Amino acid sequence: MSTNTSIIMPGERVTIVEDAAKSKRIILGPGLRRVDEKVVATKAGPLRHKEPNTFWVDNYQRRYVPARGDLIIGIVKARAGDLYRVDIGAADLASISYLAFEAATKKNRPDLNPGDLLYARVLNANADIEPELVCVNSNGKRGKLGVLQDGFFFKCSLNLGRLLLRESCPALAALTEELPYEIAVGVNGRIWVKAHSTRETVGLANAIMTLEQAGYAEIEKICGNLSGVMQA
Amino acid sequence: MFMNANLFEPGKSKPERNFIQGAVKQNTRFDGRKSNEFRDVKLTFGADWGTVAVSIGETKVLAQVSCDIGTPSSARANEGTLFLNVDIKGVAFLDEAQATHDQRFLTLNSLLERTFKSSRCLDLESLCIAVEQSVWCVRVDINVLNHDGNLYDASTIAALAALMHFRRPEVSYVEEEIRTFSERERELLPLLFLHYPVSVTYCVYKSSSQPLVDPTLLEENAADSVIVLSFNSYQELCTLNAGGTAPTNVRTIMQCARSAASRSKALVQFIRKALELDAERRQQPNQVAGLVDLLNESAPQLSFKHLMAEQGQTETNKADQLSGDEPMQLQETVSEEQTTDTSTQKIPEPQMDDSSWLPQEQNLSEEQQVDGVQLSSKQEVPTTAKAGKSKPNRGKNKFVKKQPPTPRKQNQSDSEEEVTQII
Amino acid sequence: MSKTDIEEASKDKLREMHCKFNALSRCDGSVMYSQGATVVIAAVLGPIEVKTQNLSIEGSYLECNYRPKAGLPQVKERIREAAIRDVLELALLSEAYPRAKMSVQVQELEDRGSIDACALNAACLAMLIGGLPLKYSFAAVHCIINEQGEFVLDPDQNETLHQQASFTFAFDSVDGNLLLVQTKGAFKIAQFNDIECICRAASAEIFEFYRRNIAKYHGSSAEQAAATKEGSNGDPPMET
Repeated sequence: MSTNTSIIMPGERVTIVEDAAKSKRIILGPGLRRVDEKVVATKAGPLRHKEPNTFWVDNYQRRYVPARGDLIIGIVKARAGDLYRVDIGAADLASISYLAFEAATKKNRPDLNPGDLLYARVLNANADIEPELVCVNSNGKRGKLGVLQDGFFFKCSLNLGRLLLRESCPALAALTEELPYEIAVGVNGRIWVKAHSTRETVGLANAIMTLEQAGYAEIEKICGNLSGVMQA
Repeated sequence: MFMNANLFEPGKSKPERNFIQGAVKQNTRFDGRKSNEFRDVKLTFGADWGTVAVSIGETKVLAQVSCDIGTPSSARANEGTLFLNVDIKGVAFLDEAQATHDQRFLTLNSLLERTFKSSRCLDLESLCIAVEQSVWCVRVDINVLNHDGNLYDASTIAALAALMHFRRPEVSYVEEEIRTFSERERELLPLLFLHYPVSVTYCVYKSSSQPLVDPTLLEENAADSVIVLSFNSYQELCTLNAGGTAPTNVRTIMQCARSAASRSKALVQFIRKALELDAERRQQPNQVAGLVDLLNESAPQLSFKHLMAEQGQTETNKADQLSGDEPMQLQETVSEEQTTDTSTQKIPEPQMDDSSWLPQEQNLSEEQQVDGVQLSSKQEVPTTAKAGKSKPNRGKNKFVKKQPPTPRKQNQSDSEEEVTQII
Repeated sequence: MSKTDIEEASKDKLREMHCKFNALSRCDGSVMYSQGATVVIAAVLGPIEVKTQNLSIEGSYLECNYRPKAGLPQVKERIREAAIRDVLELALLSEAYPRAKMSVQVQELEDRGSIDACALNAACLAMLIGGLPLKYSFAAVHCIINEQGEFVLDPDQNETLHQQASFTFAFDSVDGNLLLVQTKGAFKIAQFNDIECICRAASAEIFEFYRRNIAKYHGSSAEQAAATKEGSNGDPPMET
């Protein structure tokens, strides 16, 4: 990822991308669109590039826009016939079928109630239809998906969610050294954590929320602070 | 229709609720506060009179007082009117989730009505220009900017501070003709108060007997019941609103009331102090920045923690000042009545709760002498039915209330002036 | 007198601009924006669920409200609101999110002149911060002709008391096209053209202000926020 911080504004032509497009096929991510032969920005922020051919505009957006394959945390809002309606923080409520759970059959329905938390994967996402979720993988196994019991749940920025999900993210590794915990991160900017005690969970959640605005350099320090908090 | 989820609402999922219930049991709060600890309150006064922005943590509220000349209602022909309007639809986007917010909005509205209108905190008679013809109609617009819990306190603080900050133009009524003087011709007049009410909010959970004060939105949504108490600076109860499903014993409510009373007093002091500082700034030319201060990180901030930290030293000076400002002497009979009144009121208290719930009697009577003018009229303060229920001894107070309507008039120098003008 | 000097100097300059991003914690993007002593706050939410009656499969529905700080919105506010909506509708790339609603709210905090232009600029910044898809950004500039026939750019309230005519222009950032023209009072066509040029020049300054602040938001927001967090970190959150 390039750290070029020159800002592009909506409506601007992005010639770098146009040049790259001459030699190979490229993927335009969020914040870029094609108008005839031109590539034009729709959002304000620094242009990012990921090898080999993806370009997008970084924008600290807070609203989640569903995309296929995303792991998200949703809150069950209602039952509707064969479906549950789930709030995933997007424009529409998402739906999940009774049968999209491990070992679920017509007779053996999962017992979900409004207010339950779900860790699920987005199966279908399109601007024209409401998103659909599943809690099983292609083999019919639940894996890490499903209902999240107990613990604590809070909202953060979409960026923090993505940051924590990145493989190289040092934050979770640093936190693991301090205490054992469970975590589920949704790219819709929702995080669920669970540690042994209430106080540990509170400390953990606060530490993660502090990461929200901190850079990489800060992470170590915050984790150190957390251990101090735990001992107190 | 499904519940609209456009605005993320914390505390609506089961894990969150269970977690908060558990945390309350262990006396832990998410932001590290103690159960009786408040968030810092910040005031920013606008360049116009009667504009104030209040923030309690992330909860932000803007209040604006305006006034115009209207006709009085026939039932109260010699009184001005006070109108309170709350707007939650603007930048706070709270109308997006109507199913969950209607209730909250109604509670907020009724709380404000009861705290400011039913308790008669403004001297409405002083707002009369000509009986049955024209009076001042004072309007308070409260715009909620951001809701992160405890909208109640933020709104009452904003409304009170804005009313206290507000200045209205002077008018004369000669030969059936009203003449309004502009700011250049005659100085603007502040509104007259009978008492200064603000509210304090508590959350009660089934899992714990310890209520949480100044809840965040997460705590408020997870709470089983929310208790709002409005006290004035004389530590009299103006409104009590206890909703929700948590069975709450009297002891808890008394405990809340006790700390709410002293908190209200401190809050009113804080608002007074902030107003003084604002007035000082206005003395100097080109110093009124107004709400631009909200954007200016280096601007001096009128925060509760900051101002009240120095409270100890300046309090005595302030008291002196105040008594100097009051032009009228309090009639001795009234003050005697008051002290006896409060003492009878206090005697049964220890039976209900071990500790005395008002501060020492001496303090109170001192304050009465200091704020003599307002005191005489505080007898007018009606207690709501609910208040009466929680504090049965207030009934005695009511008895005294009815007796002397006469000394009040004599003390209201300003309103008297108005009256003579009319006649 | 020094005061008149300042006034002289300010006749062809915009007043000082300030902005604070995400001043409100719960919406998708918010901006507190000031130009001189005029302060407005704008907040956006979107894309969000839309009511069935407003639903369109072609594009998103734009909801735009302007709220005065005192009283209910009257005709004056409605006109302002309509002007803001018209400009936003032009700038918004609505086909990006069909069947959704974009909600933009503008709250007046303090009106000290040029409130129309300030409200528009704040709305634009809020949309940029909230990440709504735009065809272009826009900037609005207010200018008056005073009694002496002089042009006063971005006047404050005192200056607007005696005016012959007032103009508000909004320009887009790509082609510099006019998105909005509002005029009041009597003027000559030549004056109109002159003022349009003045405002166009001033809009460049506003675009530069947008860019500078968004760069700051993206570049140093991490450091800045960390610095402010330091203070609160001083006392650990749980110390019972």
